[in-house]
Amino acid sequence: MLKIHDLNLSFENGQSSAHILKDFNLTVTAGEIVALVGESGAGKSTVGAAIGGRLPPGGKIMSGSITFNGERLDSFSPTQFERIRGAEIGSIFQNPLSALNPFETAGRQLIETLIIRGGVARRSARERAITLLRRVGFDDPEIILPRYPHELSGGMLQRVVVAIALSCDPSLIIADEPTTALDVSLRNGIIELLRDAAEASQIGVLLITHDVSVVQAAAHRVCILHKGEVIETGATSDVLANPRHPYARRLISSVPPPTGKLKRLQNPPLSTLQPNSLRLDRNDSRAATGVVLQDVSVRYAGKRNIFLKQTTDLYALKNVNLSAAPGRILGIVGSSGSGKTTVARLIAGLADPTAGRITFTHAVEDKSGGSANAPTVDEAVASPTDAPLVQMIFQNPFASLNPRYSVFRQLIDAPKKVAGMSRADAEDQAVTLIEAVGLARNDLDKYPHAFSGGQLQRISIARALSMNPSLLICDEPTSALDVTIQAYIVDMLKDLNDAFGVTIVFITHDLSVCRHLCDDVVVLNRGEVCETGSTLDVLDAPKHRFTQRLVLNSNVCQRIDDRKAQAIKGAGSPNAGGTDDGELLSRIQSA
Amino acid sequence: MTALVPHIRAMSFQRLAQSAFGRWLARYNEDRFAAVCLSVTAGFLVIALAGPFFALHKPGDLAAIELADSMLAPLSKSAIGDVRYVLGTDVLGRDILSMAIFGLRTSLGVAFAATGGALAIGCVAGLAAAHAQGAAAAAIMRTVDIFLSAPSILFALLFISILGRGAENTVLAILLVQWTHYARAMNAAATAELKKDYVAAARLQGFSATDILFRQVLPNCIPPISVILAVQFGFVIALEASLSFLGLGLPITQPSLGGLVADGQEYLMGGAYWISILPGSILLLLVFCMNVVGDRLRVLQSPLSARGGTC
Repeated sequence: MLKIHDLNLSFENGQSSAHILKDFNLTVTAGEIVALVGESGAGKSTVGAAIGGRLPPGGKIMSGSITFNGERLDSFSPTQFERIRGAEIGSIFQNPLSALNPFETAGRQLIETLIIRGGVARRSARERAITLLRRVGFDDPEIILPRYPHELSGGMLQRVVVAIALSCDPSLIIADEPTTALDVSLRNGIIELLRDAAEASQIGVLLITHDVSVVQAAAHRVCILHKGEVIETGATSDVLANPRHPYARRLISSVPPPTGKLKRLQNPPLSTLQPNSLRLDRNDSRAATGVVLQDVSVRYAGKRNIFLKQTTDLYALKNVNLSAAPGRILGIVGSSGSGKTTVARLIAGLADPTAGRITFTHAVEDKSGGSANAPTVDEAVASPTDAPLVQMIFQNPFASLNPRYSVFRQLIDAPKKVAGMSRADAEDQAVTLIEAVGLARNDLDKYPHAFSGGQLQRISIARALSMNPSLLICDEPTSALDVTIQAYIVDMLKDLNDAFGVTIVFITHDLSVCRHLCDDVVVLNRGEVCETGSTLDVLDAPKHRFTQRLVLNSNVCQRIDDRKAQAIKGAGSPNAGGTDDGELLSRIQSA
Repeated sequence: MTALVPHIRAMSFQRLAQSAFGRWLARYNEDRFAAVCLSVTAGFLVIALAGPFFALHKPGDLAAIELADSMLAPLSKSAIGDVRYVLGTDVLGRDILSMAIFGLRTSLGVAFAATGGALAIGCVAGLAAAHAQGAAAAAIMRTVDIFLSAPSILFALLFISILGRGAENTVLAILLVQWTHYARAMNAAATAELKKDYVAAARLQGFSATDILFRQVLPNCIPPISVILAVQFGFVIALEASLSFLGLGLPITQPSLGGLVADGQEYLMGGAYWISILPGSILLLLVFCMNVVGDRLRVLQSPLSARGGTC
């Protein structure tokens, strides 16, 4: 049905041109889901754009052909694309909120599409829209129709987008990172919808993603793209079980295994952090710092509205008790909005608790026993602002470095001004650090805009290390990054902890990363701690209902083929907003 | 290929073209009309700086004035018989071109002084308000709102009537109405920047609040401020001209463009158009070009105009 043969595509921008796709071959037949995987910049989205006639300015097909149902798309004019787009080729985008018009109701957008693209009569369009919404898992579509996009959750919006894509019975759907912007619990629902569409309506799906677990759950065939070239292609199970190309092997091994615990994700190690590669001048009394939160709450007081009615207080955190033992890695997991980031900012001293106490603790060498596993804790009163012993790595690498200063300046300024280091020492340290995080010495003179997200995150780590921290807080440091880069950074953090005993508080929503990296784990739900303990204990035998749900959701991708997973389809009922996972859990368990 | 280029040239032109400023200038010049306006503005600046070299006489130099040459039309013959008054003369026989050049100097001087002061005060006030939050910030920003709630000429007239006439007072009056624009823009930009993670990182590294505000945040607020600056500068020149035209700006001994227009207006009906119209046209051209430049800067500044963005 869709056949791309020896496609060469390049981007021209003034004088320079970049060869984006090299001899690219791909076929999608009816009823088949083909996944296109690769890291950012591999050219995945360009393939989708070329098929849909949405190439950005400068993009040019140099040679090769794109054949769709017997027609040559590569020589299509914009008006010809207009004809098949929507009607024969449906699209699903990464961000459903920007794919829908914010000024029109969901129902109107769906109905208009049906009338204009699908040629459905105005009278029957509403009927048809309701059927479609029911098909994508809304139990009560009448409620959805009059809603504006901002009134619906991300998962619901993505369902509406799927409904619009399906509305005109297309023979091909291009799904460009359809689950990336969604919570894990919603991810499975969308994948199931795509599988359903492919099997029931014999629609071909081109699934563009960077997430290997999505591929595993959804795709019949997979095509791995690396720097514009297909390096491996074949049936999903074959390729994932037995990758031949080195990059494919690295990509697949970067995904932490669902069970068990590895020493490192990538072998051989890519990072070069060794105990002697850094000359961090470590003061013994600061060898490791832990932190204890006692009954900590953060409350946002309700405001009086214009009728002087007091709105209720909002708790970001409620009586949270947790502790990170010196020298260990504490994972904090929870879904979005559970207060994970608030905990991070509290520990870092960037926010103040409304109630409760935060204390820093130091490990004291037990002279008689010398046991490293159970350090006696000496409580010390220390504020993180006295001496910068706490450093933090942020989620968005693009905002966490000052765009105006060179990397060099960002690495030497604080050690010089705050820690009182001499210029020569600070410069030596900057060189050591930048090499330790796997970048080159001449990267020091560049500015942040010259780097990719993964590189920026490594620079952030270098900057944090330049202050010789004894406690490092990582707030979802890898969620914006490709899996291969994620593996690199996770390995690096592990090395840091091994080599220097730096205490790490690692915040994540990804249980498999947590399982791999963290010694202990705290599960947060709606601002309250619901489970805490050693990582393997908690994740292998969750006691709290919420933890059980989290674990189920993170594993469900692996066993979506099971009949059990059929129950997921109804998970996005409108009143629950697709988030009431308790219902999901009971359905899965009863099945 | 670079190796073939003589060293000196590689040092100057190529460096310039490849530098950030060179790339920026190339982007700016994609709009040809804005490029012309930029050159005209630059030309005015050069004339103002080198003004005395072009002028026939100084404004107050009575010895250099020939009363016999009064009210000459542009390009007409003087008493000596040559065409020395390119733009004509006024009722006292003063050369309009010389007066206009000195007027330009005064106008630009007042504009630079007032804008510089307003920029400094506005930036500090805006940063302080963004940092402080709470009552202090409210006090600053509500003052700004009050100033922006009425046409600035009203406040300028008010200040002049309190302070009295004179060059310094004109600068002060304009400064007092202008700082609010910068404070507002700075406050908005800094509030947005302060929420970014790099500021949190700087706090964790132990930098002081002043360091963070002036060394981390301020440099990142320069782009929006520079746009306001370019737009407001033309406005300041017009504001000073308005004040001088009303006779409330600079004293008669210091000709400014607005003052010259006012001087000549009584002779307009008598057909001596040049006394008023020619300085007026210079003023018009200057403000117009500055506004085009400001507009172009704003276009370049908006994220949509950035080419080669991620897609």
